[in-house]
Amino acid sequence: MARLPIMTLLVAGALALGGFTRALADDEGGSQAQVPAIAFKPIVDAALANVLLPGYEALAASAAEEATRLSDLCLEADDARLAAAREGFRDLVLAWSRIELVRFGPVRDRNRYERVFFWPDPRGRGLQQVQEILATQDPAALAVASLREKSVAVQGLPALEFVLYGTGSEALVYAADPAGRFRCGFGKAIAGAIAATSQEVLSDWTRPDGYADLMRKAGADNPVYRSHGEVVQDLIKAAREQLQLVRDLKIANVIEATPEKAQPKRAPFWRSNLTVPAIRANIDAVLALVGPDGISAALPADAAWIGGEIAFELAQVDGVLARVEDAGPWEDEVRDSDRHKDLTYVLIPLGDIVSLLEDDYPGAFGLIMGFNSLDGD
Amino acid sequence: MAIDRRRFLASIAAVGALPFATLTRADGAPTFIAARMDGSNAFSVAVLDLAGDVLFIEELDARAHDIAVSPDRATAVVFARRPGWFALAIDLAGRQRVASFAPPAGRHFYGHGFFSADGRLLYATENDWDGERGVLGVYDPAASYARIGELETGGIEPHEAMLLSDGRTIAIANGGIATNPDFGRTKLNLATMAPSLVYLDAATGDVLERAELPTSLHQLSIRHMAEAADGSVWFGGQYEGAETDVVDLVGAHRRGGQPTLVTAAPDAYSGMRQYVGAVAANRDGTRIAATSPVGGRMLVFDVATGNVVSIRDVADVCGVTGDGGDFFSSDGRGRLWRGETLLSEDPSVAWDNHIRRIA
Repeated sequence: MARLPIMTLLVAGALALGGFTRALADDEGGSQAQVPAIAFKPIVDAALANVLLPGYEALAASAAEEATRLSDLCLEADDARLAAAREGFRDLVLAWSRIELVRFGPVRDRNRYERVFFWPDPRGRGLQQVQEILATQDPAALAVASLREKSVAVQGLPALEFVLYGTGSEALVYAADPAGRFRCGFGKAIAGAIAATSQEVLSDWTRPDGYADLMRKAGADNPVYRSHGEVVQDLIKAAREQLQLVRDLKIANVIEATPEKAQPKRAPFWRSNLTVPAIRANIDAVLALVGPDGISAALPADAAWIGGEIAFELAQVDGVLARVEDAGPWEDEVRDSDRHKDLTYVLIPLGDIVSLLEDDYPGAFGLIMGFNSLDGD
Repeated sequence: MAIDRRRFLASIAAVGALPFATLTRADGAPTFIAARMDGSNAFSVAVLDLAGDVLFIEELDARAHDIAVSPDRATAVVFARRPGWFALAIDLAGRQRVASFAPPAGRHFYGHGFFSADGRLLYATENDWDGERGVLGVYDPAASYARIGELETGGIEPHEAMLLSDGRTIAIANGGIATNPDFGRTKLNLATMAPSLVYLDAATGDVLERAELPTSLHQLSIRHMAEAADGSVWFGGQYEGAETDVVDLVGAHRRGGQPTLVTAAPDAYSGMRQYVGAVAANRDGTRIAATSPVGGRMLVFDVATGNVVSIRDVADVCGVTGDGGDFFSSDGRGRLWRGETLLSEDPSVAWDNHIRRIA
């Protein structure tokens, strides 16, 4: 039903604006009068020192280590070396999962993000491409340089997972098996590609005038960040979007409404049974970034409860996920009625924190994200 | 669904035959229409008069995006924001909704649409996500907006599309970014995206021309457009590559040629943060405006020279439409602007991405 507006709109002449105010987050914080001035630069420095740079360093290191383990396996194929490669894969997945929330910065360059983690892949194209490489024993897939020129889907973690755990992976321990030898060489090249990509990303963060410096030196002349408040906005957005993705795509979409309808293979890393550990690492990273030991530490006193809320809810989630992880393999547990209930439950606290990170949290810092600026398209 | 060719041909034959109601410009005539958010989580569409005063609003169940206005100015169709599951037709004189409709199974709206020249057909940009292609859904306003067919848009993600001034050519901005509603709004194909400008013959659905930027710019998603007086189609994009890349965001295309990006002083575009939210032409098509809510900036270009003639910094500005020689704009802080003059401010309201001219 159409209705007339209750409020009478203000007419231009009645407003003494004297031009419009650039109400963007500025370095002294607070576009609203009642929010105390917040120094954003220390927050940025802390996030870089405690979460972002260590995250990328750990990723590069574990990728280099995994490349070595694959190389060892290819030199001498046996159960112990395959086990070591699989263990290294786990470390690498967890290292990635702790920095996965960063979708801005150097990972956007040259599709590096997708090169390491091409997911979701609704049509299973990545898997098809990997299987084709294995079936045709494409020699271009054996060298890091030529592999990196191929599709993003065949040079990252999902591809390496298939090599180590997918159909035919048992051939990896048989030195005499040409398929096994090719498969190992492919795996070694993938690990090398991930190592190269992560090293490039790390370098672009840490070099002089790299992305870390860009964040530290926010200001009017900065091509990306006009203020440190804008940097903090990006960090909060990254945390929020990661939790939303975990909640909606990695859990809700997978478990569906009932255990009978659950689709465990929709989740990443189901073959290696790393789905839940990876999700826990995703959440741990969010906690580190925006929780009481992260950005929340800078909240004004009357908003400090928000940090506690985040820590509490995410601890609840982690406790439940730990139970699911310990109970058994992912494929089985999503179809178990008790574990399905557990996974259904965690959607609630995750949703609560997503909402908190949308309004109250940035609002407490005086960082109001514009309605249209949040990608209305 | 097959295209009903007789309907198309009939609609083309009727161009110019429909008498347009003459509207006076006195206060009280519906002049602008825009979607908005009320408070923090209620959505509506508002119809404004020339002064920017709200004449009436229609409440919506979910957030909307853009609006198509019929050539006789009697009807406005509001589309839900991507992934859009509803559209609402409003009788502008009667100030009431007259129909609501949904896309068919396997399709969702992208939030934009337009009427045919004689008003007998409504086109909506839609996602066929299983088919990984964009389509224009074709709806019949006289049959309660029954969907009577669809046209392929020649690309992925037709975000905005429009009927050009010749009344028979459709221009489509294929943004190139694949999404699947089962995966929320996640962008699925950034590494391989291939945006394009495509022109269709409205009568036959045939692709008349397809224009792409050079491969090095394949991550500039072409999303919004306006037609200038000289027939060129101007477009604005959103860049999916590195934030540190310096990219011109606004371009122009002349039929038969290559689309080119319009260069401007580096700090003109840098304030747009690699994101254009809306593009509009002024009433005589001599100027083009592009807004960026992410950067909080509006640029105005002179069509003939390609020069930037105006840079305005307005937080969360997005909606923009021609207003005489200048532009009428809106922002997420509840403000309406005529050129650089603030007309009104209602802090309880956030105007959404687009604002359309009715008369």
